[in-house]
Amino acid sequence: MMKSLIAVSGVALLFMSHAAHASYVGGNPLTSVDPTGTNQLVIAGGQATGSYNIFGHVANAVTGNGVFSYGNDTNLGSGVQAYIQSQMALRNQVITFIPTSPAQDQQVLAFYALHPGRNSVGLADNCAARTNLALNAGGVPTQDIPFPGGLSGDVGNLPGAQQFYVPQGGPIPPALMNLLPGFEPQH
Amino acid sequence: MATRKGPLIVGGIIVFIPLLYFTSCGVVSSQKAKAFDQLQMGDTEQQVIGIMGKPEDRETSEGSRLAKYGVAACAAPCAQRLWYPNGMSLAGEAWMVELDASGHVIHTAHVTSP
Repeated sequence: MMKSLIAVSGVALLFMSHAAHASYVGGNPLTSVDPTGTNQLVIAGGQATGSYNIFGHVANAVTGNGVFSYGNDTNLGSGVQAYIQSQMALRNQVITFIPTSPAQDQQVLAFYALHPGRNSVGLADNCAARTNLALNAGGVPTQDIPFPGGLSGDVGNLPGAQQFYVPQGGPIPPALMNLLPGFEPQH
Repeated sequence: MATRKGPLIVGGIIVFIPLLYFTSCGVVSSQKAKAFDQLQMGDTEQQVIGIMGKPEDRETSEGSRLAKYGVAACAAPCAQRLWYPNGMSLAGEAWMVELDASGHVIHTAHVTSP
């Protein structure tokens, strides 16, 4: 409970912290791409302009399978770059690149196949809880923090993880831009 | 005696206010969800308003995007969106009805994580 509270209060801090490093380029993520070509992105957004939802939103993208964003009427498995650009107009984002194996990605996708309703989340089973569960299904360990900011900070500490800050209005950092084509849906 | 009642009253308020909030939020959500379920593709704007009431916000494909709802912009075939937010929801729950250029419903969504 305390961890959750800390996570909530840390949402603003997290996004401010990343804002201070908008020119983030240290640790070129291109050098840490899984040689099998499979990876995940956790796309966390802060509070949208004028929104009552102070917690923000979080989604997940899987190599070659697009973005899985529950609760904001986004087609599951849709284009990643289009999603990030669309959200970029609304809020600041922190995007975490996580190296995974093909088997892990398949397990994550199997989890999403069991949850086909793109808006099928609520207060408890929210976007962050759903993303946590998907990552856990793929064997990616998280602390199950049910808030976007907390989850983003959590996965940023995973081995090999790389984080990128995308400010409201852009731009998308070039190093992240280079990674996005690999996450676009191939089907 | 008065000193014993004080903590009870404060405790009661501490319990009652969140209880009132969650009950109110749940009632608003339930009422809107019930009306929303009656909508059908092809309904006219007047029918939508007859079922859901007047929208709190309108968004058009030509006007500015309403960032607070967190969804993608209204683009063709969407010509207009009617928004019905649950003002009691901390998570920003809202119901969205999209109309085409002829004013008929082409898409509806219950947005739960804007």
